[in-house]
Amino acid sequence: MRRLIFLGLCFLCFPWAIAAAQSGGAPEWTTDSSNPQRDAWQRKETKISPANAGNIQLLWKIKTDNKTMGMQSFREPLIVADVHTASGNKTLAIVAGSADDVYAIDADTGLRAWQKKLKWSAATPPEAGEGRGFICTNALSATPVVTPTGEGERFLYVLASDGYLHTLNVSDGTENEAPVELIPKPYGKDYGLNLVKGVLYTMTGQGCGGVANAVYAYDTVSKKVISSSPPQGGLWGVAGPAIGNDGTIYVESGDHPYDAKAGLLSTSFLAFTFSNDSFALKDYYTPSNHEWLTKRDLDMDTTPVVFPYNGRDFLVGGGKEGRFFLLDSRSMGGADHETPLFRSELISNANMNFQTQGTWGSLAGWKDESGTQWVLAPNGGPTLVKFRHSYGATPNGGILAFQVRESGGRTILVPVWQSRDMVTAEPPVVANGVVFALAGGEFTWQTNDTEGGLFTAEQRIQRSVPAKLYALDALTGKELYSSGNQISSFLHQSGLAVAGGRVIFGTFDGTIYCFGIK
Amino acid sequence: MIKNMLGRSNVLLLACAILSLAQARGQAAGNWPLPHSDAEHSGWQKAETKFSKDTIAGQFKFLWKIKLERKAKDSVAFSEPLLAPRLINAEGFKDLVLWGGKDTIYAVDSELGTMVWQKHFDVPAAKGSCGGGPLEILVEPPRIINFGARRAPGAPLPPPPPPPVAAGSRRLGMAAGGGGFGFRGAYILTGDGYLHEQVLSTGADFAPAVKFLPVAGAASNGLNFAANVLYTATNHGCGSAPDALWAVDLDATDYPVTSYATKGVSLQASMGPTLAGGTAYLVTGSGPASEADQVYPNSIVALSARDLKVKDWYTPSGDGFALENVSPVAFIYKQQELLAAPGKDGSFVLLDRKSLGGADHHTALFQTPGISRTRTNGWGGMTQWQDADGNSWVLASVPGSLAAEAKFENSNGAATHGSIVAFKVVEQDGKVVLTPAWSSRDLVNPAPPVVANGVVIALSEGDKKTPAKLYVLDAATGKELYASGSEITTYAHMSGVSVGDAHAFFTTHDGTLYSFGIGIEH
Repeated sequence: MRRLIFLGLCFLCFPWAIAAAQSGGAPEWTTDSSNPQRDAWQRKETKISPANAGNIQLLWKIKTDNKTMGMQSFREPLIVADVHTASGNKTLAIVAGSADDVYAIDADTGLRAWQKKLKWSAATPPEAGEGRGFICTNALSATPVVTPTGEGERFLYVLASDGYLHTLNVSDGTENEAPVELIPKPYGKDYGLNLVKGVLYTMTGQGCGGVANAVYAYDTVSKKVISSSPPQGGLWGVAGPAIGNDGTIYVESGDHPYDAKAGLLSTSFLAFTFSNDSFALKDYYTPSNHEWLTKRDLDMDTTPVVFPYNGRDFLVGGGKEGRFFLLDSRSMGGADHETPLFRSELISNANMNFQTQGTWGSLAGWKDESGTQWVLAPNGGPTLVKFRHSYGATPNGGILAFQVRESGGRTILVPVWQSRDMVTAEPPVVANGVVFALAGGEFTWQTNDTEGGLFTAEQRIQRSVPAKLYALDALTGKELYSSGNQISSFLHQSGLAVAGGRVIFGTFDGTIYCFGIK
Repeated sequence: MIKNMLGRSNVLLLACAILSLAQARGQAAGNWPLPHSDAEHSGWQKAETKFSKDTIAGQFKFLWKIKLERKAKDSVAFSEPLLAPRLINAEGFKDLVLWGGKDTIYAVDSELGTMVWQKHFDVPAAKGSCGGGPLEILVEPPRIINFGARRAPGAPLPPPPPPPVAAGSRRLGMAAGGGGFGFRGAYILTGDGYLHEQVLSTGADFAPAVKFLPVAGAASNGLNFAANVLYTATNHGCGSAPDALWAVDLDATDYPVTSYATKGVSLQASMGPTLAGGTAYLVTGSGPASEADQVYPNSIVALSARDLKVKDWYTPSGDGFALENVSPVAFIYKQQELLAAPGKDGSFVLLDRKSLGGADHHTALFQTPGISRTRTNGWGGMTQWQDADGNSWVLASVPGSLAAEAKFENSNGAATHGSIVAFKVVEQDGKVVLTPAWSSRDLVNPAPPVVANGVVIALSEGDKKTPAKLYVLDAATGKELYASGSEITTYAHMSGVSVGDAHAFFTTHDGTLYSFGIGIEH
């Protein structure tokens, strides 16, 4: 009987084991957006708070030899604590660069700990140049992942531009085993790696390199590579798949012909399970106006954020349209797959412009001391609704914050605050009551109305402006800190990592920055 | 008589053509770049998939309307909204419906019914009976962009697209560069005889205007375009312009202009000439014949493209008739190059484009019995399409009542004001003939019919006492599948219908643009 009770308790706890495993030890940032649920919430931050965020300063910066590929430069950094290096235990900031270089920086000193060039492993020889345009480049595009604390021996997994997965020792960057072909062809534009119970996940978007748009899994024990089927429209977002507390894999899909009977689910939220070396489509939600969204290229393009709510997972995602969707993991779209828990009104993008005015990237989610669940999102233009707190006009967008609330028997998202204006806000991070946001400075317009055609990557680079780091009060959005003119370059579809009082990110010119509290 | 009647009508102030730059002429979904769909005037939206006789009921409906300008004077000038989908500008992807007003081009979002851009031309108004009238427009067909195409690894890089041409180096007629999302052009012929070019996605000036027509105040009757040559016809003696067909070569930097003057013979060319196979086809009205000048009244005349030399003609035998103002349609039937055109006494003829009237220029391949009673002030157009079973059809709008001898396999009721009639093109005893298939319900001043995926979109334009009504008919039987209600509040006048991407568009005489169709949630 006691054994049964014990086993029962373990069963109840097991779905939350993933989160629990992350709660012990020093603060780290071991995967894109902090954890498999992609909530970008640094739960262990103690050094920086709303009270002292005004004292944030540039702690160090280091210029690397990173070679850009189109507009691609660095991926989101990882921060790994207690790494046994040749010169002692260190906290390392690990940043993957677009030309298959991996940089490990001592997070305390800003000195290089090690640097690794990932060798080309594909049978197809590498291409000269950076790729054509800014959609499909020859870049390493997936944020790496480090084995979370408590899940066995820790490795750094990096997916190189040739589609091969490298397993590196965190301490020195040496290869622990031979690279494995994870993506069938090079330059497949894969997105952030996720790692749960020894299985790595990624997905590919936009059919780059002739690679089918699918979710890919690599079992680190069996060494098998599996992909979902059938291929879809581009799978987003940049942070890679989000994985729920029960192991369900969530992605959003982009433009493509829609045929639910054939399993072609474009402009949708998709949920997969992975077991017995195969993917199965578990559920999906397709907005009822998906035909319009496809017509005007306003598709779903974010990594959704997953959070526990009332005993199960809820998720929130969005896209270029400028709306947000709150979904119940038990039934994301209801019986008809078109009925979410909550579909917001149009929050932004009155012009229905695919280029910049909706939401790109990923979101953040956190729970405050009162137990209220929050969801934050970057957006790229003026908003259409009133937020309780706002800080001036936002012609370029900024960060939006919502609360998840019960109202009239429904669970809804309520707009609470809207940040100051930011040029191309990247996905935010929450830590100890502070929201960290990068105004990436990227020129995101694609159409050249003066000369015709699309802006080239070079033209967009020339028109981009230096990034700025902001710290905001997580409850009100009030600005607590701005980096001013300390950052000299922009960044493209990248993000920041926060751990132990350090805020780390890399910019297009190859510089890695660390801001924080001394 | 016909000429006097036309002279009393208002004549175009501005004749405008939004014209194609690109040579590629695919018909992407939603594309309707030329009046009556294409240079051949087929009136057939080949790319339509959503409309069908099974989807119209319960789904086809009024979608939106937008008032574009003040009430326009009724004129002899034909106008038709044109469609340019999947354009891109700084505000994102746009699907545009364009229409020419008196002195302004309007570009409206074809899904939302909201204004995207408008371009006004400051040209002095023509005086007298030639003043006021809608613009004629043509748009550049879209480039076919395969968004799903990706280069396989190892495959050689395709050559980069030519960069956009710098603004200061642009001239009318040249490719804009910039790859698949480069500028597409729109040509506008203003009443001072100048040809302008606008960027289709924004309405901005593309290049300096050039002189096309030699006189100001000419009334342009329809425009057409093929192989980078733009055509228009002038009529009614407005602005001292002769009755003539004009062509301007946009490939040559000095833009040479050629013309074919009909020396007082009117041109029945509401939509401009019909173009096919390097030939321009005109329907002429009454007037003095001149063998020396190769002027043939009440005839179908074929002219060589670009230099407008008479190649051939067909004149019905006999006297005392006048060909009606019905635009012919060129098509291919079992490798035969054919032209369906108006015949004498309200009949329709099939002509061999290789020898329009045979050796004596009076012999058509086939002539129907009289179908319509000739009506003054009437205008119409013919349409050709092919169904899924490979059957070829010819349709025509009939602006008056049907003749007693007109018998159809399916009649959809008495048509005392006008109707749409449909023929099958078949081979009988080794000859190509038109067999009468169906006649529609009664329509008041029917616009030339448009066909899309087995349905006919038929606009009953109405008159000053009767508002316009839009109908959808089964293209195989003429059976009515849809009739608009009270959404259209006034009449249309010489308005064509365009169809694309499950929408149908037309304007009423008061400058209101309407959209009907199968909508989607926005």
